[in-house]
Amino acid sequence: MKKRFSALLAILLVAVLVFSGCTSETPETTDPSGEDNTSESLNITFVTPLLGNPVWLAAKQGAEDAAAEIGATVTWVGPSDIDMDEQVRQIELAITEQVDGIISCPLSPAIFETVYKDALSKGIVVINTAVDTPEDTRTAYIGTDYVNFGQQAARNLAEQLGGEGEVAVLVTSLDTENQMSELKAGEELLAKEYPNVKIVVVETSNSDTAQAADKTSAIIDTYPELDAIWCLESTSPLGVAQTLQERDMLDKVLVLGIDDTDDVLDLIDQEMIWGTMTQDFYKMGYESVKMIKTVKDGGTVESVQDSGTTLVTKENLEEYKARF
Amino acid sequence: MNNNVKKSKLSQLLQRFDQLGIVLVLIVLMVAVGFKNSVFFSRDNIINVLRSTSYVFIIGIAITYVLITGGLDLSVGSVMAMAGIISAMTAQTGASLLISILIGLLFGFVVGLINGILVVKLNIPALIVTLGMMYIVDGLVLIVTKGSPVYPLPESFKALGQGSVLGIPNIVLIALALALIGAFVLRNTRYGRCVYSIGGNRETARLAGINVNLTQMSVYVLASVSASLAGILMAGRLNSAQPSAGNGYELTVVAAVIIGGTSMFGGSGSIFGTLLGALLMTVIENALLLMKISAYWQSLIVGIIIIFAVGLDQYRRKKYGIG
Repeated sequence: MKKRFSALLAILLVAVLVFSGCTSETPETTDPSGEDNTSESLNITFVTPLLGNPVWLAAKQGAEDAAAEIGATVTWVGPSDIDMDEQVRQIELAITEQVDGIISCPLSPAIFETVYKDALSKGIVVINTAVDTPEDTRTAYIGTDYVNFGQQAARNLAEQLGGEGEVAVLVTSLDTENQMSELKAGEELLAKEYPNVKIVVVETSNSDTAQAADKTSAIIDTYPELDAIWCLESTSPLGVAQTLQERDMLDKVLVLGIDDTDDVLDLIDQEMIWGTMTQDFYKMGYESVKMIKTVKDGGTVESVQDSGTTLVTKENLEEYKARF
Repeated sequence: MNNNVKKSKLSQLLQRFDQLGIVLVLIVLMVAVGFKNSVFFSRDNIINVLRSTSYVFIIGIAITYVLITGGLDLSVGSVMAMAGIISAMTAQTGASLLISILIGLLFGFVVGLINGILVVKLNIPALIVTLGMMYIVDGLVLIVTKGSPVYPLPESFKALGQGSVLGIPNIVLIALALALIGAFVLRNTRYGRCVYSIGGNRETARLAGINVNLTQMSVYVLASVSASLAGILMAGRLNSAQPSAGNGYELTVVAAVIIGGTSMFGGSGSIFGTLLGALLMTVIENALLLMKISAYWQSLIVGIIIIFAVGLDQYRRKKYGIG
């Protein structure tokens, strides 16, 4: 089951924060080749893990917008379903074509290390988005910083609750690394800055909307004073909202979701949940291209960059939708 | 004297009650959680438990048949997701509710038929066939949905999954009806006896004039069609067909059936036992949450309770020489 489960997780790229690589130190990195290619326009290949997925289409838009600004060319390739071998083949092809930069998302980092090293040795800039590989296998990484994400989500929730309340948390499973890092960061922030906001229970949904619905029912029965439910995976909000509606408790319990899938945005629009924390895939694409340009011009870039998060509620929903 | 006879009759009856261990554990668990948190017996919570049980139980009824013939079906979780998706997509095109449901069930029928043919005609082990089918249908789910849920669904579809009669959710009523039919067919019809006799001894069954191949194929069709029905109802309830629906259900269902006393090697088992097995699984999960036991401990406790309940029955069977 684990296999099937993780395959699904990978596909549900909305929750695509699988492994956290090097988030502690952020040393500077320079272009290993040191060549100056500024006279020619840059050729960049973006090897997406999924061709048709909305979050990656946002990253593509970001990359193309940045490319238009600097006069570079971005080639968009990748499998139509999760297929990491195909991703690696596309990267090999890009190396043969001697492109200037490669942008990708190494869903299972180990698979990409060899081909990445090969690219680096030929002077190609390699940028990871959303998931990282070890520092010596790529030029730079841009993605969501889990600690930052967890802290911001907890802070938003605490402020909305007026600094007081009981919160239940739903995660996929207790060993989903990124979600547990986010939860830990959020818990620590609450303990320090909002001691009256208490996480009373952490439950698992197995990334299954039906389980999220059933667990929510038991949670609100067990914690009648509950003020909020914080979902750290994106299939939960729909199930949570469904149960709260059935039990006529939509007004009593605040729900904070994650990511910007259609159902989550609709739930915000219908005021069934309060808000969602989204990851900025557009920025990941945009900044990746800019970083390749910087390195190719002989400059230096941060080894690890946080693409940031945005809180979307009813108030900024239309503005957010218009942007993507 | 008379009293003694009565007593021994009662104890005989208890001795013969196959799932006494599970019933005892269920009762102890419910009393314990009821003391700790009376909400357990609230109407809302009981409905929540019954609804969760129903999805597992609807598939469990058919899987009881499969296991009694000595077979296995691991593809039901994936079929559940895919049937929900197919039905939901059909409904989104504006097709009527009935057509949408039938197309979802038809998918289950086809998958079950393929499973059955591969197991019976090509003699491939059921574990391998249905494991392979699990991956294939999983693949279909991802190819069709690209990982995004099918959402939103028409009102009629939602009404089916979310509706209730006299406060009892439709899904619970459907599960109850299927249980009665499933138990009756298994105990009182020629088909039911065929199912048992194939699991007991395939060769003897064949010599007795039973169409072994057809019966064996039919149980796989039953399993897939039941899984499809559960998937369609779940999609209606959640107002969306989720690619991750049914995730892990194959194990939960098979576990519920075996906990309920159905033999893994075929030949014996009952629908009532499966109901108890499915109830035990859901009640444990619900009870642990209501008793405020940390999620970190839940898996461990679930494992202990299951082994204890089934162990109790096995011990009794051995002691009294039943089964």
